[in-house]
Amino acid sequence: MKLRNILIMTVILLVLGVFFFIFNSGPEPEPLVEPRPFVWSFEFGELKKIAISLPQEGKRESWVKHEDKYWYFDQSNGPKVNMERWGGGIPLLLSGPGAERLITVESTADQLKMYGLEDPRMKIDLILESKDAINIVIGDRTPDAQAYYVKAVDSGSVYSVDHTWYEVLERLVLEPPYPEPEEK
Amino acid sequence: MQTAIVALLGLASLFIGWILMFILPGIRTFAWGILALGVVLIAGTFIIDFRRIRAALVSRRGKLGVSTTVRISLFIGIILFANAISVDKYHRFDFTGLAQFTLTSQTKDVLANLDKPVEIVSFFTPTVPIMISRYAKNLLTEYQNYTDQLTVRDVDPDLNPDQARQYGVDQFGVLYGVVFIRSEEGQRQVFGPQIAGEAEHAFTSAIVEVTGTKQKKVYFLTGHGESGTYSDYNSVRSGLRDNLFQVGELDLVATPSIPEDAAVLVIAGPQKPLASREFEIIKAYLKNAGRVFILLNPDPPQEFRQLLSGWWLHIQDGILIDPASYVVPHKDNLLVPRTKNSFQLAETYFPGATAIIPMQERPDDVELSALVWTSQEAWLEQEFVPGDEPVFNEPADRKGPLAIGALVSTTPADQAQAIKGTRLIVIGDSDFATNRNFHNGNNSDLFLTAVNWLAAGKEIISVDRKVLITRRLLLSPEEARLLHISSIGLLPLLLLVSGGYVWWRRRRS
Repeated sequence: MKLRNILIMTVILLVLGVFFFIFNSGPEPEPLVEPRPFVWSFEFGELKKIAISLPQEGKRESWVKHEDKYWYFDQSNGPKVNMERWGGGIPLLLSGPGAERLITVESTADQLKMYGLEDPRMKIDLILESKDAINIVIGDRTPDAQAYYVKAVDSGSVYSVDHTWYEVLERLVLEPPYPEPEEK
Repeated sequence: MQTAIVALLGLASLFIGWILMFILPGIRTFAWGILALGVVLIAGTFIIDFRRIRAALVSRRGKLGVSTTVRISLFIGIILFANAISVDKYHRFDFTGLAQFTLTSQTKDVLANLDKPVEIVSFFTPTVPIMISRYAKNLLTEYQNYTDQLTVRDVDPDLNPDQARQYGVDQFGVLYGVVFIRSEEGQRQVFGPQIAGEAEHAFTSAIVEVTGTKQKKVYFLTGHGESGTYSDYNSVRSGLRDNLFQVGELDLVATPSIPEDAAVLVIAGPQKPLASREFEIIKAYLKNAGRVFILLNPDPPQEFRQLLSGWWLHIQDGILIDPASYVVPHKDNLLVPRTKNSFQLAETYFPGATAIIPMQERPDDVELSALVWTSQEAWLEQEFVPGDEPVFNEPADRKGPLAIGALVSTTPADQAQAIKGTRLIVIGDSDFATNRNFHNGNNSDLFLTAVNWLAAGKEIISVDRKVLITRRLLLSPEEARLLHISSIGLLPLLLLVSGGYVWWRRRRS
């Protein structure tokens, strides 16, 4: 046996092995596809009252769910909402939008200003059957115009939510879903 | 016998287990089980028949076998670990002629000579393809290795919309990614699609521009069937941009004059006549210290002949044939060696060219010389038929040597920086620079050196271009003959001779 050669090769192998195990992280693991975070979440059937306001435009609308489980404008003798526009989609949208990104976990005052949340363009007030309240503010569009900055008032986290979610809710205020004449 | 069977089963289990481990990772646990079984069987063999195995191992054959096995295993282990380590940790040595896999020499020159601070801010969101954002980041890191004047920052526009607004990042920039490059003299943006296609050129051009260095612009005339810079002259366009020229197209029907920022006007293979107004514009431009590069094919439109006759150049009908120097097998595909090229470029070729004939009488202050020319055996063939063997017919055909290209200059032709004066280059072929031929031989060098010579003295940038090493074998008739003979006859002959020598030596001994 050529012990010397074997010993030399063994030493080389050990050195390389140690180097490998200490310094090489190995192939990068596949990035975990994190599930989309929800800005807030509850069962949409728990929703009792909705109020959406556009402070910068001075407009506000609100709706309440009656005993018959239908939604009505929250006014004296408020009519039932246009079911074609309302359907079950609006409560579902408000039960918890999936966020595009978590922008920041704990926002500072400067960040709130930067994201337009200090002077929000939309405020949403939700009241659940359990009397719990969820208040949300929506700020500016993101630079790619694909989302809006959104924050639950009692949370420091800021998220971005797809622009279509905002636009549907905005339209409820700008073009309230009054029933068609035959529906009344 | 029984222990042998058990040992074989153990080895088979080990082998099967290893195979399953790699090809069916889904049943890895099962594979581990088979491996464990193999180990148990092998161990069992050792225990059952220990004495016999020990005797075999300590025997001479056994020791040799074990030694060999151990050494082979160690060697394989070393190779495996070395490869595993090199996956993450490596350094690349680029031995290619132009350092093709690192920054170009032009970029390195620009960075080395950078004397003003340049700020580079990358705006990438996670939705921008990682190929673009990572490539940009790695490339800019490479740039920073060559200069201290660059500061590079990454900004996520979603997290920092105020900075995005400050820099004027628009929706397109956020969606596809954008890199801002700014310095004293201005700001440039490089968008994601540009980064994917030509990042180094885009970044270097932007750095050059924002530091106040003006790039030369080459205009290509259009409207007469010329080769287009986005079609068959696309390689020319890329080559010029690699050399930090800007490239534009010029339609003299729509534009009243040659633009002020034109360093060179290129007319590449026109097939239709010039309108009289266009003719006058180009004529006036040339007269007024213009720089023009004209590439004509055999039998060009009359107006171009007329234009060139004003500069003491005559175009005669016909195609050049050179039986002494051509790219096999076409004798009209002229191969021009270094000795027949005034730019001293080795091996350029012209697939179908006409002759540029200088007029003898011209003013003393005009320098006129051949740029590339044929051998003495060449001639200008009047009745060339592709496929037929060309034959010299006196007196219709004109005997060589003949110029394929010519330089005309009212400034000293050998002066690199010539601010004033007219410079004109005419070549009797435009196909040598098409996409198919541009990167072969030194055709690209010829074109780009010609443009550089024409543009010399107009603006600040003058970057010498390195030769792109040819990848296509161009054979003259002699070389083709030698290759043919050597490949068919030489090797067998060598074998025969060496075999004969060995036989003769053995006979003697």
